[in-house]
Amino acid sequence: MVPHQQHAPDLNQATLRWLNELADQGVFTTDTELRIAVWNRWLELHTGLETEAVVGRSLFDVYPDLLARGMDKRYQQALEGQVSVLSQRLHRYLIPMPPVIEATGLAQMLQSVRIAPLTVEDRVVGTITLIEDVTERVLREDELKQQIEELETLQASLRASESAQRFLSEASKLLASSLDHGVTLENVGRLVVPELADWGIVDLLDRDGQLRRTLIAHEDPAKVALAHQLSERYLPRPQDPAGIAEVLRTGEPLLVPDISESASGERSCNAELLALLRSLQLKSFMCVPLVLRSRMVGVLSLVSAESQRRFGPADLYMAEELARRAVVAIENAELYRTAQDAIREREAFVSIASHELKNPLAALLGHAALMLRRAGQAEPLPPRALRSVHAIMEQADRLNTMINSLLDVSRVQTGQLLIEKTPLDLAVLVERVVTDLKVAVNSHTIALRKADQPILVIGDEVRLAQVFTNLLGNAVKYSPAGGQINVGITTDEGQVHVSIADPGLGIPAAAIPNLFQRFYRVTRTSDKHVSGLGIGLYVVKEIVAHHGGTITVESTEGVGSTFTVHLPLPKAERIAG
Amino acid sequence: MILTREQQDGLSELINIAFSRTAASLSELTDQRVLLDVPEVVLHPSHELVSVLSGMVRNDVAAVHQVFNGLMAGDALLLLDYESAVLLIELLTNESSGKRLDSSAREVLVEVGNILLNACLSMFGDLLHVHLAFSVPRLQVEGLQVMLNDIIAGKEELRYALVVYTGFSLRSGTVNGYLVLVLGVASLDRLLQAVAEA
Repeated sequence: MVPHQQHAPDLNQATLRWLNELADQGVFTTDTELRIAVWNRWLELHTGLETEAVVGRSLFDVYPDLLARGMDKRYQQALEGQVSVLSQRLHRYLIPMPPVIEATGLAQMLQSVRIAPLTVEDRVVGTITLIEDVTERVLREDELKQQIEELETLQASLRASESAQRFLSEASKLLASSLDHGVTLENVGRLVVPELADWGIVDLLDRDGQLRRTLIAHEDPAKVALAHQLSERYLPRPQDPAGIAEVLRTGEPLLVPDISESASGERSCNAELLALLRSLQLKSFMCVPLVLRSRMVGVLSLVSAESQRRFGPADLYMAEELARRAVVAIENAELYRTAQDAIREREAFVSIASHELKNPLAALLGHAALMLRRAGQAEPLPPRALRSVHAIMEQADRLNTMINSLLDVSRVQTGQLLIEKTPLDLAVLVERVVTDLKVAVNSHTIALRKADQPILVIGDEVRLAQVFTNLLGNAVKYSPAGGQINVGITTDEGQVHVSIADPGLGIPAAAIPNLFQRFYRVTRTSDKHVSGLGIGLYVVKEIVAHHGGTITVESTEGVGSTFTVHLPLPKAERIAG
Repeated sequence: MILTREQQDGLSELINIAFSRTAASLSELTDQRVLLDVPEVVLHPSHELVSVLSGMVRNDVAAVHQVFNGLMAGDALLLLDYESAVLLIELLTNESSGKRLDSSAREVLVEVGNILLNACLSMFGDLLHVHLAFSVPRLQVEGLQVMLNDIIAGKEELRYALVVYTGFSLRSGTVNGYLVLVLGVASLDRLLQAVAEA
């Protein structure tokens, strides 16, 4: 076991003893002929080769493998004075050793090796090789590396999920921002392209169960146009065996990571379509169902093309989340559109109905008037019958007024309220309305503070008379009998103000903001019931607005209300005034 | 001291020969065809080295440092920026190192540096007919300035640095690096003389 002395003339006894007894590395030396001189105990233990069996033999004789692996060069360099470092990653081992049993199974020792010249007084007398067992260190490091990689993967997925959450929350905001059907679909397109895919397509089921392609989004408008043409010819049908139809039937999303590898995308395609699709460089696609309260309403399809992006499960998740948000927005927009349609239908109905009602009413009024005329001449009526005819005339008149109001509302709604403006003296007009009303109203006093000069405005005489008649009528209707209604007319700063004040019930403060909305009626706590449609003030406001004016109201409950119409004066009048 | 055209050509040729040997041994080691670019040789006073090199390598560097002694003495360095070092390891081992130099990657780097530096220095040794003694190469990973200061500081003698710019091309990529020899005036004179006589 003692190193062979004559082959290691340059190592002293103490060094040899240290190498043998204490070193926890493999150490061997050679002479200049590369014959082994020292072979320490560590090597004996690990290789199973006794010192006696190797000392004096050529290194390459003991391990021919070293020659095959070009180690002769390294040893030659060492004899020339150079130091060589052999890394375990590139060499795994220098001296083969029987595998040891590790926790992971049989393992070959990993070695870190230094080969250096053995020199005595600047003279190279041989080589020395140090072999360190680094298996454990490498395994530990690999383990650490794996842990770090796992951590980094986790971090990356956290980051991805954070950015996904951000995207989805942005998506929710954008989708909630409009009730317009077209804008909502556009927003879906904007969210999908180019963030998630190159193409975004929405197909919605209509009432007849047919698919309607409602959105094709792509950054290039030319491609969108091409896709629209394609869609006209090859719109998916619910009875198709695969693709969008399949998603509609099953409610399961479809993910095709690579179109070229999948036949399913081609199953329902004919050759021409296939060629077209190929020219679009389609790479990957996914279709997710648009489901609203467990009812299938359509399919959102995302396609990757020129970006050559390959969709994976994470993309599918995003698409599904987006679909979930989009479907609510699309449905809201649909409902809003339906509601708008219903309103338009109602308005059309009101307009038609009012016109239709006017015809029989005109006949009714005509005949009643005829009866009255005859009663005054050749065919006198008994007094009770005469009262009835008067009642018929009165009620028919009321009905006529209401129908006219309804017609006005529908004209305002449809933009058909015609205002024929001519120059007129507003002071005269107001006075005439007051005088007319005084004849008809016996229950109230109407006091007019006349203007002392003509007040010229540009307006529609009939419509403006309607405004003041309506306001005065309200004043009478909503104030107790015997009260005095004050009408005033003043001018200042280019405006004329006509005010009508009644000592009536007053209007609750909470009701004032809604007063001029159509079909709005003030709910009162008192028992007094006053009939009406709640459209008079709406029409008044619209007429005044058509004259470039405004209407304001001041009111105290139990004290009375003052309505004031403000109309612009023409410029010449302003200068004169 | 400024290199003459002849001296520069002579040095380049020598290093070229040394590198072609080196390329062969690297190829053998990695079972890949390794090409080393035709090196460019420039001489700088050692105190200029930091500013010259910091223009070429950014941030942290990985340097294989080997001290040599004998009739010619000095420091030999293989300098790579950190990313290049990582890339070189990946190219050599065909394994992803995950952007880090672990200890086994460092060892590979030391071996590669060792082979390159040995090739160069032994070429000079042969040329000068002198025996050079080498230290065990070490890898230093730190800021450029810190590392160079370690080598340059505390030396009284005016020293020069031969900077050899080179690139390794492997099948799947190219890594650029620098080989730097820091020599005393005496050693440099001896080397240039030998180059002139060769």
